[in-house]
Amino acid sequence: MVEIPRKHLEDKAKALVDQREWTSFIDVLALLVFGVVLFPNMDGLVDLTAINSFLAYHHNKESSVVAVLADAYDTFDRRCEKSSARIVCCTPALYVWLVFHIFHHESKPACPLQGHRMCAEKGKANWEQLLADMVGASVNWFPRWKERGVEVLSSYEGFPNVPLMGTRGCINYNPVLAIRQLGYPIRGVPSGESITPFIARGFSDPNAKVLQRVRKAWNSVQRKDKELRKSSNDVIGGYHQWLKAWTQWKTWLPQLKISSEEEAETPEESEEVQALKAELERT
Amino acid sequence: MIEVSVEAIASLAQYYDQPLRCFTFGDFQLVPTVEEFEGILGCLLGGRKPYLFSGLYPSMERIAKVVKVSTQELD
Repeated sequence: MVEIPRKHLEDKAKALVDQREWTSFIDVLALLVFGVVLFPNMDGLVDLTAINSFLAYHHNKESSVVAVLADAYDTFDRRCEKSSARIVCCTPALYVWLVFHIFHHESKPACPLQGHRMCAEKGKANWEQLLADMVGASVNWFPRWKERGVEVLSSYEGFPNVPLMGTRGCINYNPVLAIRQLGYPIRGVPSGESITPFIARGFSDPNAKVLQRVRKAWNSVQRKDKELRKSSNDVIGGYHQWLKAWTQWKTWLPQLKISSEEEAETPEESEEVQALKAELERT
Repeated sequence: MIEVSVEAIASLAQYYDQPLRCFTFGDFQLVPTVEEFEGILGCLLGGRKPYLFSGLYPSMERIAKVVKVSTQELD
């Protein structure tokens, strides 16, 4: 198994600067971004999965977006099974995603990253309280950078939702639940089929066949120049009732109760948040 | 460079809804999507064709060539 310590690559990058080997310097720097930011590893190593996705980018211009997203779902999924599991994914991308859905802005940034930099509130937020107080009506469903148009992925051959493939295996997500993020109202209750869970951890033999199906689905996926509608966060039909019934028995949801005034005045971090923070600081 | 709020990610993690693969809050759900992540990362990450792990890792020689080190250094 090949793993390269981060420090080793950083030293290499510095040496290449001294030698004025700019092309190689950029390659090593890009590899560091893959190994440290996009596909981080618990031990501070640039591991083979990161190297492999970097080579796919470097040689074939393959995009790692799907794998980055898959690894984010994968890490949260594993945490549900083992609460001590550490969050290991591209947290900067997830943080930008969260910030643009939480805060509203009048300006029209050219890209999400510009919007992120312009958002001053994020640094002052008490996140635990902020998320506990969020309601659907206050979510920024359609941040303004989307007005430039987004190509929407349509059906995946043989799958009822989106089968992501990451560096640790495959996991699905359900676009039917994300419809408001495209500027459309959510209509009614999602069908059972459309939210069928799918997971395949690892790439070894029992999963080989299904992984082949996922690759095939991605190779034939279509994109539509879908006309996005601006900021419609409506709910039509029985979605809220369905969600209420769904969450009724969910003991894992931390803050669905309405905080009393006293609690709101002195928000305290739960033990779980403290443990998670300590855990993230170590990564 | 994005400075990530550890508190934000830790708080968000509590809302992950495993069977539905989304973050479920009181009266709404948020889903990280490919289209949005393309918006965040897309300009950095090359073309349209998604990277899908082939099941085979690259050879040490191939890695060594790109990072300009000898294969002994990778051992």
